[in-house]
Order: sequence, then C-alpha cells, then structure tokens
Amino acid sequence: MPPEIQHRIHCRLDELLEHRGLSLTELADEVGITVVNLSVLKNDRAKAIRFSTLTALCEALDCEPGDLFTLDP
Amino acid sequence: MSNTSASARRQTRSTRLGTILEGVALVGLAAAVLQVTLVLTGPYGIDIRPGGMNIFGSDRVMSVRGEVAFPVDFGDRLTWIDTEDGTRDAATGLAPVELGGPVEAELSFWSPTTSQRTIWVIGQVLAPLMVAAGIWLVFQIVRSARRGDPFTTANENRLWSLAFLVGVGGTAYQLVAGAVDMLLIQRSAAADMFAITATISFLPLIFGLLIALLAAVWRLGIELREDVEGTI
Repeated sequence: MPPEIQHRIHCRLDELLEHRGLSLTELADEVGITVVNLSVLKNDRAKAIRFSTLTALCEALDCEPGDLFTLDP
Repeated sequence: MSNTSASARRQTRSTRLGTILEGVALVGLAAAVLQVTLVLTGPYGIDIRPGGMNIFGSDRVMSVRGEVAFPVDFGDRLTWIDTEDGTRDAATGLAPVELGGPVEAELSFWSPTTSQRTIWVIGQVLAPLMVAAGIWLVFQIVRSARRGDPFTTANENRLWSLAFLVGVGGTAYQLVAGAVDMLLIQRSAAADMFAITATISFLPLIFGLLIALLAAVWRLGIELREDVEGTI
C-alpha cells in the first residue's frame, strides 16, 4: 500500500453547529452517530466519511457537503 | 429479521467457535507439555517419577528405528498363479503384489549410558516442544479473534513466527531427529547392521511458506482495518 498522505480537509462542524444553535450531543442523537465519532470528525481526525453519514449530517444541518468541508491551504 | 439481531447472532456464533477452538488448542498444549514432562521425568530423563507410573507407555524401553543394512528374506509368503484373468495372488485371488525392502528395525537400549539417554531425550522432547510453541501462537491468535480484534500487528508477528517454526523448525527437526537416531545407532553394538539413511520431507517448508503467505495477507487486513477505523 502507498504511504499515507496527511489530508488537508477541514470539517466545519463547529461553525455549523454554532450557527444552528445545536450541541454535538443533540446532533449525535439526531443522526445516530456516537458523540465520539462526531468529535473525531469535528477535530479533523477522521480518515474518511461514509456517504450515508454525510447524507445524515447534511439533512440534520440542512446544508450541502461543500458547506461541511473545506480544503485547507 | 433486523440487521442488528443477525449481527448479534453471528457474533455469538463466532464467539462460541472461538471458545471451542481455544479449548482444543489448550488440550493440545496440555498434551504436548505432558509429553515433554513424561520424557524428562521418565527413566531416561532425570528419573524422578515413582516406579510403576507408566503413563501412556512413557516408560517403554528406550529405542530408535532405522533401516537395516542386511538383506531380509521374506520367503514365499506371497505366491502368484496364472489364471484365465492373468496373474493373481494365489491365496486371495487379488491382483499380485510383492513384498520387499527397505526394512526398518527397532533398536532397543536396555542399559543406556548417560550420553545416550541425553541424546535420546533431546530427540524425544524436540517435537512436542515445537508443537507446544506452535499451539501457543495459534491459541493467542484465536483468543484475540474471539475478543474481536484479530487484525493486529502482534498477530501478524505471531503468524510470521509460526511460519518460521513450521518451515525452518520443522525441517531442522527432521535433521536433528535423524541425526539423533543415527548417532545412537552408530555408537551402539548394532552399528554395522543399520544403513546410514536420511529422509527429508519438504512438507514443513511448504506449510511454512503457506503460513508466511497468510501473514502477508494479514498485513493487508491490518492496513484495511486501520482505514476502516478512521471512517465515520
């Protein structure tokens, strides 16, 4: 397998949660993902995201995938 | 049927299978350790077992097997006759067969010297020790699988060790065991009656390579698992 490349994807979950007045626990309950996993995603420590998770997050936060992630310079 | 209950049932089944395999491995390990203990404490080891404790024939006379160097006459035990169906065995009427060498004989040592005993004990404990080591490695892999975490670097290392043990150890064992038998025979009064032979099987090497292949595949499994672990 090729050596792992450090990703530069930044998850904007913090900002989206703040904008919608939601807590991480409330979002976790709504999308059915553990707080631990959401925290991993929020802190940019996730290696990948399932389309099903992304769909659930976008539905819960009423946003597009592009609103959730940005590419760091 | 929900996915959760199917998954739970699968989990229960694999846990039960893991427990059975662990049990089998422990029984094998105990048998191997018992074998070593019996030889070491037996009459040709340090001889500390009370007399009359002949467990699983462990007190049998010290002996080795070898191929005899003189011709053995099997006589006319198998005779052939010509029938309308061709040549047949005279007694059974079956297809004809012939009895021949090489012939193996057992050489027993009724009063072995200390060096002979030592050499013999080494030959006797080597195989069960290697089997015990192999079973212990397998036991640890099975145990980690039952705990739900088989794809670890520790298990990969265990598989490499098992491959080495089976491939190299198994081949080395054949050489050592053969050398032990030859050494005992050649230093005995019956040295001239036995031929110097050596038979090496490549099966351990092949099995070792197969296990090594499994270890390499295991590495891929570990990498895939690491990927999945980081997936949300």
